Amino acid sequence: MKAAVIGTESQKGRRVARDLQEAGLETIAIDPAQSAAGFDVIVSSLEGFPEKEITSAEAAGSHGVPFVSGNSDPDSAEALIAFAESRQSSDAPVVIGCGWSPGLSGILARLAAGELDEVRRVKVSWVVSTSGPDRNRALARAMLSLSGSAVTFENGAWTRRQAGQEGEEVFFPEPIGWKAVHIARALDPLTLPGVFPAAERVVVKGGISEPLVGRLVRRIGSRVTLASRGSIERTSGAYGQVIRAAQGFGQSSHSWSGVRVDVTGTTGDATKTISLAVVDQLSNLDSIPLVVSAILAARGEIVGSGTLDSRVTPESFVPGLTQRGLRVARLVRRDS
Amino acid sequence: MGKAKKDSKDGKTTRKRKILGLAALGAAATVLFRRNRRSAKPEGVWRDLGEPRA
Repeated sequence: MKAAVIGTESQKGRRVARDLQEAGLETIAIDPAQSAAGFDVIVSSLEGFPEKEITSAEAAGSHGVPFVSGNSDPDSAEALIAFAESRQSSDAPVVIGCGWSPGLSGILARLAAGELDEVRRVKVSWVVSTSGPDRNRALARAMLSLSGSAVTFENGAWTRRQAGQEGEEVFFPEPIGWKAVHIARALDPLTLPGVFPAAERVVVKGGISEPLVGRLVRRIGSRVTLASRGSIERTSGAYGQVIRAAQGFGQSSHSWSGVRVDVTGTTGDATKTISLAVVDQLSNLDSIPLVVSAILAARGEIVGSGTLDSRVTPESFVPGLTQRGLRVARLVRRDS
Repeated sequence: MGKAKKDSKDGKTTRKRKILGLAALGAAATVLFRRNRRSAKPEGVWRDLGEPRA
Protein backbone atom coordinates (compact mmCIF):
# COMPACT_ATOMS: atom_id res chain seq x y z
CA MET A 1 0.00 0.00 0.00
CA LYS A 2 1.11 3.53 -0.74
CA ALA A 3 0.41 6.60 1.41
CA ALA A 4 1.05 10.28 0.73
CA VAL A 5 1.52 12.58 3.72
CA ILE A 6 0.88 16.32 3.67
CA GLY A 7 2.52 18.58 6.24
CA THR A 8 5.76 16.71 6.84
CA GLU A 9 7.52 19.99 7.63
CA SER A 10 5.98 19.71 11.12
CA GLN A 11 7.13 17.32 13.83
CA LYS A 12 3.69 15.69 13.79
CA GLY A 13 3.84 15.16 10.02
CA ARG A 14 7.28 13.56 10.17
CA ARG A 15 6.15 11.27 12.97
CA VAL A 16 3.03 10.20 11.04
CA ALA A 17 5.13 9.46 7.93
CA ARG A 18 7.60 7.43 9.99
CA ASP A 19 4.85 5.44 11.73
CA LEU A 20 3.13 4.66 8.42
CA GLN A 21 6.42 3.43 7.00
CA GLU A 22 6.95 1.24 10.05
CA ALA A 23 3.45 -0.15 9.51
CA GLY A 24 4.58 -1.33 6.07
CA LEU A 25 3.12 1.40 3.87
CA GLU A 26 5.29 2.98 1.22
CA THR A 27 5.10 6.61 2.35
CA ILE A 28 5.87 9.74 0.36
CA ALA A 29 5.65 13.39 1.43
CA ILE A 30 3.66 15.50 -1.00
CA ASP A 31 2.46 19.06 -1.40
CA PRO A 32 -1.33 19.68 -1.00
CA ALA A 33 -1.59 20.67 -4.68
CA GLN A 34 0.20 17.54 -5.90
CA SER A 35 -1.64 14.76 -7.74
CA ALA A 36 -3.04 11.91 -5.65
CA ALA A 37 -2.86 9.39 -8.50
CA GLY A 38 -1.38 6.05 -7.54
CA PHE A 39 -1.83 6.37 -3.78
CA ASP A 40 -4.07 4.30 -1.52
CA VAL A 41 -4.59 7.12 0.96
CA ILE A 42 -3.74 10.81 1.39
CA VAL A 43 -2.97 11.74 4.99
CA SER A 44 -3.03 15.34 6.14
CA SER A 45 -1.14 16.26 9.29
CA LEU A 46 -1.74 19.98 8.76
CA GLU A 47 -3.07 22.10 11.62
CA GLY A 48 -5.16 24.94 10.29
CA PHE A 49 -5.04 25.78 6.55
CA PRO A 50 -8.45 24.20 5.74
CA GLU A 51 -8.28 25.56 2.19
CA LYS A 52 -5.11 23.51 1.52
CA GLU A 53 -6.78 20.40 2.91
CA ILE A 54 -9.87 20.94 0.79
CA THR A 55 -7.71 21.35 -2.34
CA SER A 56 -5.88 18.13 -1.53
CA ALA A 57 -9.06 16.22 -0.66
CA GLU A 58 -10.66 17.30 -3.94
CA ALA A 59 -7.57 16.11 -5.82
CA ALA A 60 -7.70 12.80 -3.92
CA GLY A 61 -11.42 12.43 -4.66
CA SER A 62 -10.88 12.95 -8.39
CA HIS A 63 -8.65 9.85 -8.37
CA GLY A 64 -10.91 7.88 -6.02
CA VAL A 65 -8.31 8.04 -3.21
CA PRO A 66 -9.44 8.30 0.45
CA PHE A 67 -8.37 11.41 2.38
CA VAL A 68 -7.88 11.47 6.16
CA SER A 69 -7.16 14.56 8.23
CA GLY A 70 -5.91 14.95 11.78
CA ASN A 71 -6.55 18.71 11.80
CA SER A 72 -7.64 19.74 15.32
CA ASP A 73 -7.67 23.49 14.72
CA PRO A 74 -11.09 24.75 15.90
CA ASP A 75 -10.96 27.62 13.39
CA SER A 76 -10.83 25.10 10.55
CA ALA A 77 -13.58 22.88 11.95
CA GLU A 78 -16.65 24.37 10.32
CA ALA A 79 -15.10 24.56 6.84
CA LEU A 80 -13.89 20.95 7.05
CA ILE A 81 -17.22 19.63 8.39
CA ALA A 82 -19.09 21.37 5.56
CA PHE A 83 -16.65 19.97 3.00
CA ALA A 84 -16.86 16.41 4.38
CA GLU A 85 -20.67 16.61 4.33
CA SER A 86 -20.62 17.78 0.73
CA ARG A 87 -18.59 14.64 -0.16
CA GLN A 88 -20.95 12.12 1.42
CA SER A 89 -22.08 10.73 -1.91
CA SER A 90 -18.50 10.44 -3.20
CA ASP A 91 -16.85 7.02 -3.57
CA ALA A 92 -13.62 8.27 -2.03
CA PRO A 93 -14.05 8.89 1.71
CA VAL A 94 -13.04 12.21 3.26
CA VAL A 95 -12.53 11.60 6.97
CA ILE A 96 -11.86 14.55 9.27
CA GLY A 97 -11.13 14.83 12.99
CA CYS A 98 -8.68 11.92 13.12
CA GLY A 99 -6.64 13.26 16.05
CA TRP A 100 -7.06 12.72 19.78
CA SER A 101 -9.61 15.46 20.37
CA PRO A 102 -11.48 15.47 18.06
CA GLY A 103 -11.07 11.85 17.02
CA LEU A 104 -10.08 9.62 19.89
CA SER A 105 -12.52 11.55 22.13
CA GLY A 106 -15.46 10.60 19.89
CA ILE A 107 -14.29 6.98 19.64
CA LEU A 108 -14.14 6.77 23.45
CA ALA A 109 -17.62 8.30 23.66
CA ARG A 110 -18.96 5.65 21.27
CA LEU A 111 -17.17 2.90 23.18
CA ALA A 112 -18.82 4.06 26.41
CA ALA A 113 -22.17 4.52 24.68
CA GLY A 114 -22.13 0.82 23.76
CA GLU A 115 -23.10 0.08 27.38
CA LEU A 116 -26.01 2.53 27.41
CA ASP A 117 -29.44 2.49 25.85
CA GLU A 118 -29.44 6.22 25.23
CA VAL A 119 -26.75 8.89 25.61
CA ARG A 120 -27.80 12.12 27.36
CA ARG A 121 -24.56 13.93 28.09
CA VAL A 122 -21.00 13.79 26.82
CA LYS A 123 -18.19 15.65 28.50
CA VAL A 124 -14.74 15.58 26.94
CA SER A 125 -11.88 16.79 29.14
CA TRP A 126 -8.30 17.07 28.00
CA VAL A 127 -5.12 18.24 29.60
CA VAL A 128 -1.72 18.96 28.07
CA SER A 129 1.62 19.32 29.75
CA THR A 130 3.80 22.28 28.85
CA SER A 131 6.80 20.52 30.37
CA GLY A 132 8.89 18.14 28.29
CA PRO A 133 9.67 17.77 24.61
CA ASP A 134 6.18 18.60 23.27
CA ARG A 135 5.81 21.79 25.32
CA ASN A 136 5.56 24.23 22.41
CA ARG A 137 2.90 22.26 20.63
CA ALA A 138 1.02 21.72 23.90
CA LEU A 139 1.09 25.41 24.62
CA ALA A 140 -0.02 26.31 21.11
CA ARG A 141 -2.96 23.95 21.39
CA ALA A 142 -3.99 25.29 24.78
CA MET A 143 -3.66 28.91 23.72
CA LEU A 144 -5.79 28.32 20.67
CA SER A 145 -8.44 26.33 22.51
CA LEU A 146 -8.76 28.33 25.72
CA SER A 147 -9.26 31.78 24.20
CA GLY A 148 -12.06 33.23 22.10
CA SER A 149 -15.62 32.01 21.79
CA ALA A 150 -16.38 28.29 22.14
CA VAL A 151 -19.39 26.40 20.80
CA THR A 152 -21.10 24.09 23.28
CA PHE A 153 -24.24 21.98 22.94
CA GLU A 154 -26.61 22.64 25.85
CA ASN A 155 -30.25 21.63 26.28
CA GLY A 156 -30.35 20.31 22.75
CA ALA A 157 -29.11 23.51 21.08
CA TRP A 158 -25.80 25.06 20.15
CA THR A 159 -24.70 28.02 22.18
CA ARG A 160 -21.55 30.12 22.53
CA ARG A 161 -19.47 30.51 25.67
CA GLN A 162 -16.28 32.33 26.49
CA ALA A 163 -13.47 29.77 26.33
CA GLY A 164 -11.33 29.45 29.44
CA GLN A 165 -14.30 29.84 31.83
CA GLU A 166 -16.39 27.46 33.99
CA GLY A 167 -13.46 25.69 35.56
CA GLU A 168 -13.69 22.39 37.38
CA GLU A 169 -11.28 19.73 38.61
CA VAL A 170 -11.22 16.47 36.66
CA PHE A 171 -9.46 13.26 37.66
CA PHE A 172 -7.20 11.77 34.96
CA PRO A 173 -5.28 8.50 35.12
CA GLU A 174 -1.97 8.70 36.97
CA PRO A 175 0.50 10.28 36.77
CA ILE A 176 -1.73 13.24 35.80
CA GLY A 177 -4.34 12.99 38.58
CA TRP A 178 -6.67 15.92 39.36
CA LYS A 179 -6.39 18.84 36.94
CA ALA A 180 -8.37 22.03 36.38
CA VAL A 181 -10.13 22.19 33.02
CA HIS A 182 -12.15 25.00 31.46
CA ILE A 183 -14.45 25.43 28.47
CA ALA A 184 -12.44 24.91 25.28
CA ARG A 185 -13.04 25.60 21.62
CA ALA A 186 -13.40 22.24 19.89
CA LEU A 187 -15.06 20.30 17.10
CA ASP A 188 -16.82 17.64 19.22
CA PRO A 189 -19.81 19.79 20.29
CA LEU A 190 -20.54 20.40 16.59
CA THR A 191 -20.39 16.76 15.53
CA LEU A 192 -21.17 14.42 18.47
CA PRO A 193 -24.85 15.50 18.72
CA GLY A 194 -25.19 13.93 15.25
CA VAL A 195 -23.71 10.66 16.55
CA PHE A 196 -25.91 10.66 19.70
CA PRO A 197 -29.29 12.06 18.63
CA ALA A 198 -30.74 11.96 22.19
CA ALA A 199 -27.84 13.94 23.66
CA GLU A 200 -28.82 17.10 25.51
CA ARG A 201 -25.32 18.26 26.31
CA VAL A 202 -21.91 17.96 24.66
CA VAL A 203 -19.14 20.04 26.13
CA VAL A 204 -15.36 20.03 25.78
CA LYS A 205 -13.10 21.33 28.54
CA GLY A 206 -9.35 21.62 28.38
CA GLY A 207 -6.50 22.52 30.64
CA ILE A 208 -2.78 22.75 31.20
CA SER A 209 -1.03 20.57 33.77
CA GLU A 210 1.09 23.44 35.04
CA PRO A 211 -1.23 25.76 37.05
CA LEU A 212 0.79 28.95 36.57
CA VAL A 213 0.92 28.64 32.78
CA GLY A 214 -2.74 27.62 32.72
CA ARG A 215 -3.81 30.67 34.71
CA LEU A 216 -1.78 32.97 32.50
CA VAL A 217 -3.19 31.51 29.28
CA ARG A 218 -6.76 31.88 30.54
CA ARG A 219 -6.22 35.37 31.93
CA ILE A 220 -4.75 36.68 28.69
CA GLY A 221 -7.06 34.53 26.58
CA SER A 222 -10.12 36.17 28.15
CA ARG A 223 -9.00 39.47 26.62
CA VAL A 224 -7.46 38.52 23.30
CA THR A 225 -7.58 35.56 20.95
CA LEU A 226 -4.24 33.92 21.46
CA ALA A 227 -3.61 32.39 18.07
CA SER A 228 -3.59 33.76 14.59
CA ARG A 229 -6.38 32.38 12.48
CA GLY A 230 -5.49 29.40 10.34
CA SER A 231 -2.64 27.85 12.26
CA ILE A 232 -2.30 26.24 15.63
CA GLU A 233 1.48 26.48 15.28
CA ARG A 234 1.56 30.28 14.98
CA THR A 235 0.80 31.47 18.47
CA SER A 236 0.58 35.21 18.82
CA GLY A 237 3.74 37.24 19.27
CA ALA A 238 4.08 39.27 22.46
CA TYR A 239 1.54 37.32 24.53
CA GLY A 240 3.07 34.08 23.33
CA GLN A 241 6.48 35.29 24.50
CA VAL A 242 5.15 36.14 27.97
CA ILE A 243 3.48 32.76 28.35
CA ARG A 244 6.53 30.92 27.05
CA ALA A 245 8.62 32.73 29.64
CA ALA A 246 6.25 31.46 32.35
CA GLN A 247 6.85 27.90 31.15
CA GLY A 248 10.21 28.06 32.90
CA PHE A 249 8.47 28.22 36.28
CA GLY A 250 6.36 25.56 37.93
CA GLN A 251 7.34 22.72 35.62
CA SER A 252 5.60 19.38 36.18
CA SER A 253 7.49 16.31 37.24
CA HIS A 254 6.01 14.58 34.17
CA SER A 255 5.08 15.56 30.62
CA TRP A 256 1.98 13.43 30.10
CA SER A 257 -1.14 14.62 28.34
CA GLY A 258 -4.52 12.95 28.32
CA VAL A 259 -8.15 12.91 27.32
CA ARG A 260 -11.06 11.73 29.44
CA VAL A 261 -14.62 11.22 28.22
CA ASP A 262 -17.62 11.00 30.55
CA VAL A 263 -20.73 9.64 28.91
CA THR A 264 -23.97 9.79 30.89
CA GLY A 265 -27.06 8.00 29.72
CA THR A 266 -29.78 5.57 30.56
CA THR A 267 -29.71 1.82 30.81
CA GLY A 268 -33.13 0.50 31.62
CA ASP A 269 -34.53 2.85 34.26
CA ALA A 270 -31.13 3.71 35.69
CA THR A 271 -28.86 6.62 34.83
CA LYS A 272 -25.22 5.70 34.50
CA THR A 273 -21.97 7.56 33.77
CA ILE A 274 -19.11 5.73 32.08
CA SER A 275 -15.69 7.37 32.13
CA LEU A 276 -12.88 6.36 29.78
CA ALA A 277 -9.48 7.95 29.31
CA VAL A 278 -6.21 7.72 27.45
CA VAL A 279 -2.97 9.19 28.78
CA ASP A 280 0.28 9.34 26.84
CA GLN A 281 2.86 11.75 25.46
CA LEU A 282 1.31 14.46 23.29
CA SER A 283 3.26 13.35 20.21
CA ASN A 284 1.72 9.85 20.51
CA LEU A 285 -1.79 11.21 21.12
CA ASP A 286 -1.44 13.48 18.10
CA SER A 287 -0.10 10.96 15.62
CA ILE A 288 -1.33 7.45 16.50
CA PRO A 289 -5.09 7.99 15.86
CA LEU A 290 -4.21 9.56 12.49
CA VAL A 291 -1.94 6.64 11.60
CA VAL A 292 -4.64 4.08 12.51
CA SER A 293 -7.23 6.05 10.48
CA ALA A 294 -4.87 6.15 7.48
CA ILE A 295 -4.26 2.40 7.60
CA LEU A 296 -8.00 1.63 7.82
CA ALA A 297 -8.72 4.02 4.94
CA ALA A 298 -5.93 2.56 2.78
CA ARG A 299 -7.36 -0.93 3.33
CA GLY A 300 -10.77 0.29 2.23
CA GLU A 301 -12.26 -0.28 5.68
CA ILE A 302 -13.70 3.23 5.93
CA VAL A 303 -16.81 3.92 3.89
CA GLY A 304 -18.37 7.36 3.40
CA SER A 305 -17.27 10.82 4.47
CA GLY A 306 -17.55 12.66 7.77
CA THR A 307 -15.88 12.78 11.16
CA LEU A 308 -13.82 9.80 12.28
CA ASP A 309 -16.24 8.88 15.09
CA SER A 310 -19.09 8.65 12.60
CA ARG A 311 -17.13 6.51 10.10
CA VAL A 312 -15.45 3.81 12.19
CA THR A 313 -16.57 1.61 15.04
CA PRO A 314 -14.63 1.49 18.31
CA GLU A 315 -14.23 -2.26 17.72
CA SER A 316 -12.35 -1.67 14.47
CA PHE A 317 -10.35 1.30 15.76
CA VAL A 318 -9.27 0.58 19.35
CA PRO A 319 -7.17 -2.53 18.54
CA GLY A 320 -5.01 -0.39 16.24
CA LEU A 321 -4.45 2.10 19.07
CA THR A 322 -3.63 -0.64 21.55
CA GLN A 323 -1.20 -2.25 19.12
CA ARG A 324 0.68 1.06 18.96
CA GLY A 325 0.71 1.54 22.72
CA LEU A 326 -2.26 3.89 23.36
CA ARG A 327 -4.09 2.29 26.26
CA VAL A 328 -7.71 2.98 27.08
CA ALA A 329 -8.51 3.06 30.81
CA ARG A 330 -11.89 2.93 32.51
CA LEU A 331 -12.70 4.63 35.79
CA VAL A 332 -14.01 2.36 38.53
CA ARG A 333 -15.52 4.82 41.01
CA ARG A 334 -14.94 4.47 44.73
CA ASP A 335 -18.66 4.13 45.42
CA SER A 336 -19.32 1.49 42.73
CA MET B 1 8.64 44.78 72.20
CA GLY B 2 5.68 42.45 72.14
CA LYS B 3 3.17 45.25 71.72
CA ALA B 4 0.63 45.19 68.93
CA LYS B 5 1.14 47.59 66.06
CA LYS B 6 -0.54 50.94 66.67
CA ASP B 7 -2.03 53.54 64.42
CA SER B 8 0.32 56.48 64.08
CA LYS B 9 -2.20 59.18 65.09
CA ASP B 10 -4.32 58.06 68.03
CA GLY B 11 -2.11 55.23 69.27
CA LYS B 12 -5.00 52.75 69.53
CA THR B 13 -4.32 49.10 68.78
CA THR B 14 -5.65 48.13 65.37
CA ARG B 15 -7.51 45.10 66.67
CA LYS B 16 -10.06 45.22 63.89
CA ARG B 17 -7.31 45.09 61.30
CA LYS B 18 -5.61 42.23 63.07
CA ILE B 19 -8.85 40.24 63.33
CA LEU B 20 -9.63 40.82 59.65
CA GLY B 21 -6.11 39.81 58.68
CA LEU B 22 -6.25 36.63 60.72
CA ALA B 23 -9.69 35.79 59.30
CA ALA B 24 -8.41 36.25 55.75
CA LEU B 25 -5.39 34.05 56.47
CA GLY B 26 -7.65 31.40 57.99
CA ALA B 27 -9.99 31.44 55.00
CA ALA B 28 -7.09 31.09 52.56
CA ALA B 29 -5.62 28.23 54.56
CA THR B 30 -9.02 26.47 54.64
CA VAL B 31 -9.43 26.79 50.88
CA LEU B 32 -5.93 25.43 50.26
CA PHE B 33 -6.42 22.61 52.75
CA ARG B 34 -9.76 21.57 51.23
CA ARG B 35 -8.39 21.75 47.71
CA ASN B 36 -5.35 19.68 48.60
CA ARG B 37 -7.42 17.15 50.53
CA ARG B 38 -9.77 16.69 47.59
CA SER B 39 -6.88 16.56 45.12
CA ALA B 40 -5.14 13.94 47.17
CA LYS B 41 -8.21 11.69 47.13
CA PRO B 42 -8.70 9.84 43.84
CA GLU B 43 -12.16 9.72 42.30
CA GLY B 44 -11.64 6.01 41.76
CA VAL B 45 -9.28 3.53 40.14
CA TRP B 46 -8.42 3.59 36.46
CA ARG B 47 -8.43 0.07 35.04
CA ASP B 48 -6.59 -0.61 31.80
CA LEU B 49 -8.85 -1.96 29.05
CA GLY B 50 -6.06 -2.74 26.61
CA GLU B 51 -2.90 -4.76 26.39
CA PRO B 52 0.21 -3.30 27.99
CA ARG B 53 2.62 -1.37 25.77
CA ALA B 54 4.99 -3.74 23.98
